[in-house]
Amino acid sequence: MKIVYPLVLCLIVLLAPTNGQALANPYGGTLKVGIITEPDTLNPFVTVTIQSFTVLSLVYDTLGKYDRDMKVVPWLASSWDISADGRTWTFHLAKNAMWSDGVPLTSADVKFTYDFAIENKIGTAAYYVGSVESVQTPDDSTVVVTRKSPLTAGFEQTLAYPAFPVLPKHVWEKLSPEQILKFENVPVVGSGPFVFSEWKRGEYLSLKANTNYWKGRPYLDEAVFRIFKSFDTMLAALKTAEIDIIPTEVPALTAASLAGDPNIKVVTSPDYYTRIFTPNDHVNGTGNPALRDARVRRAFQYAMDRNFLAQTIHLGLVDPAVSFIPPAYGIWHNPNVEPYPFNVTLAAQLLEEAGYTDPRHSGVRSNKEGVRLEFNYWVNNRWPEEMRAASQVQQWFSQVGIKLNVQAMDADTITAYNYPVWKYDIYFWGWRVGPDISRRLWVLTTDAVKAEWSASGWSNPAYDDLWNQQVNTLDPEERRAIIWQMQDFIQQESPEIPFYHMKTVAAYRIEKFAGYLSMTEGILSEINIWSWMELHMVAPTVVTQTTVLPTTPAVAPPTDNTPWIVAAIAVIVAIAALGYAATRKRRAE
Amino acid sequence: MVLREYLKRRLVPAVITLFVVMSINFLLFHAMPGNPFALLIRDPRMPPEMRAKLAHAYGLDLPLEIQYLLYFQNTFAGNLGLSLVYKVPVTALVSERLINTLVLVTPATLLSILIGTVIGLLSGWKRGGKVEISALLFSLLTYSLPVFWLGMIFIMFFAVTMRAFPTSGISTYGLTYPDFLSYLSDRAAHLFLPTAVLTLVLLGQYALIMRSSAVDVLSQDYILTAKAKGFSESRIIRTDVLRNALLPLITLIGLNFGLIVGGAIQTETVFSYPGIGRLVYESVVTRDYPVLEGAFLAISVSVIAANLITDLFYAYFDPRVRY
Repeated sequence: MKIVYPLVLCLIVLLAPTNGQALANPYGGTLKVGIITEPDTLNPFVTVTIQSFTVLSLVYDTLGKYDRDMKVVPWLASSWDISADGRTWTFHLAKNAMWSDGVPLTSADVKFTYDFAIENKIGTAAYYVGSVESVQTPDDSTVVVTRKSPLTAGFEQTLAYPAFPVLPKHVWEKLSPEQILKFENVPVVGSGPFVFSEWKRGEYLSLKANTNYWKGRPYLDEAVFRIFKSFDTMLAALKTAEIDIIPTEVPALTAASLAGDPNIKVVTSPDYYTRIFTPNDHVNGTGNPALRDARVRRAFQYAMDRNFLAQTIHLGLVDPAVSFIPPAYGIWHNPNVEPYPFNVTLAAQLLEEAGYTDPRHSGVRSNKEGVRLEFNYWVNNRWPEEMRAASQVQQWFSQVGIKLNVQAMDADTITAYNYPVWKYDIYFWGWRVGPDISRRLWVLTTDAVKAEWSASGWSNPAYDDLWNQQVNTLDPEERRAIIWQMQDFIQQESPEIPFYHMKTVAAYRIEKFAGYLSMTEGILSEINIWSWMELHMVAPTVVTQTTVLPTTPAVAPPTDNTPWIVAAIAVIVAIAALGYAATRKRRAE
Repeated sequence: MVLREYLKRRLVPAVITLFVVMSINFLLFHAMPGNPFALLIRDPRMPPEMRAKLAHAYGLDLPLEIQYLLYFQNTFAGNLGLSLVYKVPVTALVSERLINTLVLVTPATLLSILIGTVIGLLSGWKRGGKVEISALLFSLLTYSLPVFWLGMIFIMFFAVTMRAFPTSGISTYGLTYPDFLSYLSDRAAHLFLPTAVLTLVLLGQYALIMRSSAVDVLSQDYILTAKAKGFSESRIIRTDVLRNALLPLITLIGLNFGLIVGGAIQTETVFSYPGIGRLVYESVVTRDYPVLEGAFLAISVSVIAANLITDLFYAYFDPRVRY
C-alpha cells in the first residue's frame, strides 16, 4: 500500500491532461524608455549618435545579428554559404520580409544597399563595404557577395551592426549624394520588428510593433523613447512609473541609492566603452612638444592611481584599464599586458631621463630647450564626476613636477581643436567603437589620423604593419597572437592612457514588463535585439496561447477637471478685477 | 486719433531696432570661432568634394554680403532654413517651441505680477507691522531661491511623494482625449508645477518694486489730502495709490518679458518642457546655426513687441505722457 499510493499519484500526474499549453507571454503594452541624448537623425548615412543606432536597429534589419555571446548569427539572411576560398558569400534571405509601406523586400534591396554605399562612400556605411568587390542577385531571395582579395578577417562583423542596415531601394534610389545628406528619412520605411510612428523632437520618439514582421511580431505593442533634459527628472519619472527603464548611463551614486526600492532593479553589463586620457601626439600638432616623448607619457602612467579613481569616483562600477582593449572583447583582450603601478618615484625617474628637471624647485619641470611640463587638460563637460577625477590627477601630477590646468569643455569645442588643427595638449574622452575589434584597433593607425578619427594623432609604422597583419590573418589563433602583441606595444608606447572600461548601468521597473536579457553593452542596446523581441507585459492572470489581451488605449478620465476650471475662472476674474480697478479713475474723469 | 501718431512714432524705432538686431544675429553666427562646417561634416571620412557639395547646398560658399541679403529675403518670406541637426524647417521648430514657452511663461508672468502687486501694496500700505516684515521676507526668499533647486524640490514632493502631478513633459504620451476639456486638463496638470515654480521665483522682484513704489506714492501730499477728506482706505488704494504705483512696475514687466521668454531655460530643463530656452541651449551645444538664428530672431521680436506694448500701456495709464 505504501508503495502503490505514491506510484498511483505519479501516474495520475504524468497521465493527466495538461491544462491548455504552457504559460505564454501576452501581447501588448507600451514600453517607455527614458533617454537624455536624443537621436540626431534617422538617416544612417549621416547620424553619429548611439541613440540613433538603437532606433535604426529596431526599424531596419541587418543580414545578421550579434547573439548574446557576441557571435554573428543569421537574421534577415536566414543562412549563408561561404565558398571554399572564402571569397564568395551566398546569402539566402528570409521569406515574407516586407517594407513598412507594403512593398516586398527582395535581394534587389540588398544589392542596392551595397552598391549605394560603395558608390557614395558617405558615413559609417563606407567602412562596412570597404572589403566588398561586387554583389549579384541570381534570384529574388539570394544575394551573392564577392569579397576583395586578399581576404580580411572579421567580414561577418559587417553584417550585424545597425549602422549599415538593409535599405529600401524604391525609397533611396532617387536620391543624389547631396540629397542624401539632407534627407530626413522620417517616416522611416524599414523592414524591422518595429515601425516608425512619431517623433516629436525634444519630447519623444515612438515606434509601433510591426505586426507583419517576418520573424513574428514582438510582444510589445509600442515603444516610446521619452527625452529628458535632466537626469534627476528622469530618475523621478522612473520612480513614479512614468517611464519603465533608464537603459544606460545611470551614475554610480544613483545606482546605489536605488538599492532600497523593491520595484526597481539595477543591472550592470560589460561594455566596449573606455574613457581615455588623450595627449596630443601629432607630429605637426601645436600642443606641448613634451607629449611626443613616450617616456613622458609613461611617466604619466606611473604618476596616476587608476584603481583609486575607479573605486572612489565610480564606486567600483568600472574596471580600471590596463590594456586599452576592454575585457568585453573576449579572446581579443590581452589580460597579460604589463600594468603600470602607481609609483611616483619611477615617474620622476622617467622624467629625469627624458631631460626634464627642476633644479630650482619651482614645482614644474622643464628641459634644456625650455619646454615646461605644463599642460592644458580638457575634460568633456558631460561628466562632472570626471572633473573630480581630473583634480585628483592634477594633485598627483604636481607631486612629480607636472602642472595640469584642468578645464571643463563641451565635446564640439574639443573636436574643433582636435581636427584638423591638432591644437590641444590633453583631453579626456570616451571611446565606444562597437564589437568589431579591427575597427577599434584601426583608430590608432596612421590612416585614422588622416581620416580624422584618431584622438591623439599618434602615428607609428610598426603598429600600422601589425594592424595590416591582423586584418589579413584569417586563422583566429594567429590573429589573436598579433592582436595581443599590439596591445603590449601600445602599453609600451602609451600614446593614449585608458583610465577605465565602463560598464553599462541600467535601472528598470519590474512590475510591468519582463523579459530583459543581459548582453554586452546592456539590456536594451543597439545590438540587443533579443530583449526587444522578448519583452512582454507581466501577465496578471494565466493566458493560453490563443488568447491575446486586448490592448486598451489609455483614456484620460473625462471628469477630473472641475478644480482646473474653477482655478482658471478665479484667475481670469482676478485679472479682470485688477484691470477694471485700474481704469476706474480714468472713467471717473 | 493722436494715439495713432504715437504708435507711428514708437513703431519706427522698433522697426529699426529689429533691423539692427537681425544684422547682429547674422554677423554673430558667421563670425564666431568654431567652424560652422564642423557639424555638417562630422564624418571625417567624407571626401572633400562631398563637403564642397554640402556647403553649396546650404549656401555657405557664397560671399558674405550675398548671404546677408539672402538672409533678409528668406526671413521675410518665412523661410528660416533647415535645422542642421534635425533636418526639419527651422520656422516650424522654433514657432512650436516658442508657443510652448509662451503658454508656460504668460500665466506665470501674469500671476506673479498679480500676486507681487498685491503683496507689494499690502506691505507698502501697512508699513512697520508684521504684515510688512513677513511680506518682505517672503519676497526676498522667493527671489533668491535657485530655480533648478526649487523645481527639483517640487518634483520630489508633489510628483514623486504625493503623486499629485506628473514629473515632466508637456502632455501624457499615448492618452486619447475623449473631449477637449480632458486635453486641457492633461496639459494643465503638466503645466501646474513649472508655472508654480516660475511664478514663485518671479513674484519676488515685482513685490519689492511695488512696495517701494507704493511707499513713494504714499508719501505724496495728495494721499494726505485724500485721507483728510475722509476717503476709505480701499478707495484711496484703488483710485490713487494703485495707478500711480503701477507705472514703474509696467516698465519692469516690459524689460523682463524678453528675458523671461528666452530665460525660462532652467525651468524647461528641470521639467523636460520643450520650450525655446532649452532649444537655444541645445542648439548652442550642437552648433545648429540656423536654429540659433531663428530662435534669437523669435526672442528679439518678442522683446521688441513687449517693449512696444509697454510703451502703449504707459501712455494709457500715465496721463502725463503727451502724444
